[in-house]
Amino acid sequence: MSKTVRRSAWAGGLALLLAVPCFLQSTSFAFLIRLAGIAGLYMLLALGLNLVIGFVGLLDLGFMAFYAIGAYTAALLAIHKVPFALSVLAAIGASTLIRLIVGFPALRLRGDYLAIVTLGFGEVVRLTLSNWDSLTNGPKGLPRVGETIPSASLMGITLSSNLHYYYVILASVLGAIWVCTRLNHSRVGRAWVAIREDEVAAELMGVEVTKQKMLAFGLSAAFAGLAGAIFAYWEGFVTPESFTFWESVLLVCAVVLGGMGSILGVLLGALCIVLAPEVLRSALGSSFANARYLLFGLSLILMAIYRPQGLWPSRRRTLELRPAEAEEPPQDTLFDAGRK
Amino acid sequence: MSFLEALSVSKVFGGIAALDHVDLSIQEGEILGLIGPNGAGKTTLFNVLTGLYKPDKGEILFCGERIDSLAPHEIASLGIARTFQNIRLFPNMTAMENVMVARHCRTRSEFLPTIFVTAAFLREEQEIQKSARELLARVGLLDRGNALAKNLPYGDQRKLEIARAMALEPKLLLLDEPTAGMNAAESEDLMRLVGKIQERGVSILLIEHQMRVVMNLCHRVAVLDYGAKIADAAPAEVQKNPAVIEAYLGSSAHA
Repeated sequence: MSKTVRRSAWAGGLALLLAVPCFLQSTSFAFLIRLAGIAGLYMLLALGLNLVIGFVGLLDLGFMAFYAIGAYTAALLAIHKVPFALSVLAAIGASTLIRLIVGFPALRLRGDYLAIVTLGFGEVVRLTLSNWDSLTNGPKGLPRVGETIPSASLMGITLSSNLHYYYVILASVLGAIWVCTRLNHSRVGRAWVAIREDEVAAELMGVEVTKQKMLAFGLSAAFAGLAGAIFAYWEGFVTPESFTFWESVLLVCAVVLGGMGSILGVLLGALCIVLAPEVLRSALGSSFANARYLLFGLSLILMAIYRPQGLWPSRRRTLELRPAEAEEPPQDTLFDAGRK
Repeated sequence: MSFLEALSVSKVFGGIAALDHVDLSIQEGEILGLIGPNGAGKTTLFNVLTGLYKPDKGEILFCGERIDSLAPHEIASLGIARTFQNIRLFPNMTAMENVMVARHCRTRSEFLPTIFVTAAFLREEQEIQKSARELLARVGLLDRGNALAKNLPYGDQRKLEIARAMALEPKLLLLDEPTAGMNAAESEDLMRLVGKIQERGVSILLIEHQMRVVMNLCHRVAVLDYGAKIADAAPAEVQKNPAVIEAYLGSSAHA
């Protein structure tokens, strides 16, 4: 596919994403806008998690913790009348900072051990939110009776409808896609993938493994913090119930289902996990909405057997091999025999 | 003064001395062979020199600087690169990318220049690709540059590992049995490659089992047995050394 075709496909897709919700708003399909917004939040989370699982190859089973930290930070600040932009930044900062503090000791562990630590931390965060009554109002959630999370306003526009939030989320997802794509084929991104492929060899080839892991860890939490903050303002309400272990597992599902390391893949995976309960509900009745866990379990097993690389597998980029005009071909090849 | 100097280096694993007060020095521009029976501690010495293991005793000096407490990536950026006995490429990355990764510590683009696509980032990315192409061309793999490393034939994987190590611009290259599993023609090729790398002014420490390679290529040979150095001399002398013959063949009393 040529560059122009791909560019126009992107432009066309973007135009659709921008325009269609405007028309849907006044029809009976308006619920799709809200659904798309939720899918967008999950996409942000899945893109963040993919940096850790897909790029650097570290299994994280407690990613929702950082979504929760972002959401609660934003909610607490919003209640105290901190402007939207500022509390979003603070939420991103808090998630990232806590992630780095936890990551510093935890990243010494590898593989399953790291997965257990992240799982444990996810539970610690959820339990803290449920029990720290004076700060978080426990299981009843924020805001308390008599307090409210005011409507967000951004550059003079008050975000009041699902449509507004749809656009904010769309912009965030596009930003996240940009960051991931740029990283994927850069010095930093290559170092991350090298760590996934062989940590020891990467270290011996000069990659500062611990520093790079921390960078990926921190950045993934920044994505989660952003998603959490938007969620808190949009819902106007946060409880610990939204951030369970199962949600973290669903995110891992999204990444694995879509294709680890593949940006389009994890977007697709996130879409699947958001749409599945809706489709199940309308196809089989509302009591089957929770059958998604069954469905995901089954699909993961089937994927592991028949398509371990995911729905939309990641591919390494093909690079230009012919030397540029100005480049001189090497004078002597080190191997002359054998390959003629 | 020596280029790389290991002074009385010891490494103990569970009460067994894998390295027992080993002294080793490499002169600039030299090809030093390292031989010894299986389990003599050759690869352990490589792992100590590259920072993967910390020595229990002793010092390692590289260009006059203590390196035995540095992290492996710091040692790599000082200019010591290596290959592995059992090939350790990045299997799901292309041959080009494998080489490009090793440019990491010779380049600087961090997170922010990357996402804002600064001019400096683009320039550096071009440089990385250019030097990767050159190195692949040098080992004769340029036409396979976009193949995943895991899909390359065995001999090409060995060459790619050397190209990757050379991308670090090392002053000292450690090769761990580069001819393992190669046929005579391929080893011949490889010997020529090692010779050419040395002509470029890179010092080489070479673990090798094929005596033909060692005798033809190395300026000097060190012999390890049970973690201790039992000989260190010119190849022809080492060949005649009774201690070396005993280590390899057993003593005549048992024969």
